[in-house]
Amino acid sequence: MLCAAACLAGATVASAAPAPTIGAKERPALALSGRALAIAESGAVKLPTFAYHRTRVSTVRLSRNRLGFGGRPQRKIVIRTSIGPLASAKLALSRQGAILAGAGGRGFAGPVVWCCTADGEERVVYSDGRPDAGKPISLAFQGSTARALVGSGRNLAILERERDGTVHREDFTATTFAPYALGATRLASINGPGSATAPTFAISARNGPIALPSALFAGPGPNGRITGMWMDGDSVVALVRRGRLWELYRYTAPERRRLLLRSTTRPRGVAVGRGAVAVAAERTIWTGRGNRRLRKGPRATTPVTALAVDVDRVAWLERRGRGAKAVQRLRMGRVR
Amino acid sequence: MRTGLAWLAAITALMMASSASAAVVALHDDAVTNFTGQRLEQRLDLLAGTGTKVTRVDVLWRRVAPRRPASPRDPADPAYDWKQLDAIVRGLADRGIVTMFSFYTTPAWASPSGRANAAPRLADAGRFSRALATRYSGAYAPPGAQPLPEVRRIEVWNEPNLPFFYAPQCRRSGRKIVRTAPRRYSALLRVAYREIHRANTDAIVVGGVTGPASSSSRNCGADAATSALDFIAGMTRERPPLDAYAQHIYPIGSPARASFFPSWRTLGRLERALDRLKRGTPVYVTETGYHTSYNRFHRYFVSESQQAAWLDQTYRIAARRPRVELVVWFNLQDNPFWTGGLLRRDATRKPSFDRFARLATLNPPPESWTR
Repeated sequence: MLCAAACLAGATVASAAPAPTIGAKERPALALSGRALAIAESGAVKLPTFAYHRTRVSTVRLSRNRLGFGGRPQRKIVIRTSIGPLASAKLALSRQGAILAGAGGRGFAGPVVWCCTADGEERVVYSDGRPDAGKPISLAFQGSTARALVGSGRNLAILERERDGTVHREDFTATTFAPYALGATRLASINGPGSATAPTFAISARNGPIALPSALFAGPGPNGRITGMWMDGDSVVALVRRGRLWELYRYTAPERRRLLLRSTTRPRGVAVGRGAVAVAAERTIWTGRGNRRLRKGPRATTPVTALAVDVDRVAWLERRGRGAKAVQRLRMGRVR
Repeated sequence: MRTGLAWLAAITALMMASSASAAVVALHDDAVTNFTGQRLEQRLDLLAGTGTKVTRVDVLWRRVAPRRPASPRDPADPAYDWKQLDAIVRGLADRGIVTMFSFYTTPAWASPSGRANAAPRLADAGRFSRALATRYSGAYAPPGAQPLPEVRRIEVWNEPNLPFFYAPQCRRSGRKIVRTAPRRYSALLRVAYREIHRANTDAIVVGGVTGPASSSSRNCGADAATSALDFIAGMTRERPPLDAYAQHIYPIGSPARASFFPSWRTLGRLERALDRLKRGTPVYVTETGYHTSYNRFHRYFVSESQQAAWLDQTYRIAARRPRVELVVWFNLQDNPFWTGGLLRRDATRKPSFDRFARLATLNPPPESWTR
């Protein structure tokens, strides 16, 4: 009875397997799809004589009710470099459990790696060591087709890895600046001459292997600055800074937008997934589905460091412990 | 004054470069076996353009002997197809480049499983070694043709401690894992050594050729590997004959600082282990390098400028190890599976190209390699 009440309030439920943890200093990323969850951690490996940097991606199976964990994390991808620190990875997870991971750091591009074949082997979708190579910007799955948007400045490319392993690539010069968001069938970019404050999005439709901007959605107006975009199905979720306010909108059709959240607290993380949206602002996690305003969902015990959402479940990482025992622990909750 | 200092710096740099002459500077081009005819000539020109005077060539036994030969020790047996290898060896000799062989990949007929990575039947491998060494002994002339150049250094297999090239690595005995690969490989090396030396008494048979596995797998699955040190220990129990030992080194970190085994800092451990196998065995590093972008065979990558700087450092460190006689940079050009080339996939030069060319020009191989 107690659990039922707690669950209705969006609280987490005790899990079958212990909650996975990662190091406190890791730069994390999460992706959630069905009963699969991917965790990426980027950090330094310090050895007595030197240090190098790595991003590693693991998956963990969720319990049947998708509020707990069904086993220990399985290591899938490891990317190592001595060039410099790797930023938080870009992640996408297909419904079949395939992972797409992109890494990169300041001033250098990392790879986009797809994992795995039936034999557990990974495949490299993108890897370019040239000094001016583009970084992974946004990743997505459409069924078994994996897509990656990579680029630097205005030089962008979309890569598509088909089921048979074929990789298509199309380079294009963007007429607009970042941010960009890649969805299953769409590419979103802000339509404006060199400014992220422009009021419209360009949304592409996909016919061939490669998508390019073709249609426009109305944007938030010249007073706001779009600081982040996410594709969710055919709609765009955009985070806008307007003075001291942070606003989250969903654009579902030209000239149609819905305010999902308005807050004076800067969101620490935004996640979208199959109709659901989650925003972490300090310890509060706002969640919602469709065009409805977000409501307060599960509450983290410490500030959230990474967030992922899928249909009716939200996953997040929060810091626990202090000093040498400090970790980031994974938690699960319901979308309200 | 500033000009004078610049000259001094340049002379010092040249002296440092030429002081790295203890180890022979060499380059591997794994794509050379993909070309024939005019395209092969162009490829060899590209290799020669790096200034290298020594190269390592893969002899893909499976390709040379697609059918079982009736007289396997006879290089003239019609089952053998030497056409491409002859062209490579002659082309390299024409360009003043010394060739070293590495033979591996088992023909379908030479093992029970028929797989390219299967440990071959010893008799078959031994007879092929004889045919290979005879053909490239310097005294063999194919019918109606000039004698073929001599290839004196022959590596027996490639990375036999890794299942990708040599399987099985182990078997289970109750709860214990018995590492069978070192023993089987030692037997292969013993028979190949005997056959190669019978064909060419001057031949240098290079054994080991171990890949960069730092620890042995705890399971005995299809991907189980044997660490280089465990492999040498296993060979030591068998004591096969060899003239030099080859090790592949792909450090994580700079050559001066990387501390995983095998690396340049841990070469002393390798040498001590080799002394137990055969005291004073020369060390050939027949593969080393740094990848400039991620690939699934090497998940560690560095920047192009780091690659160039660490190429220099590699040869400087090798020069301080008197037992290291050869260091082969792997590879000439990037491909989707290997991104440690001096050239990018589009054949443009990375900064490491010029560094290698300078080292190769300033450090020609000693006479013992070229005569």
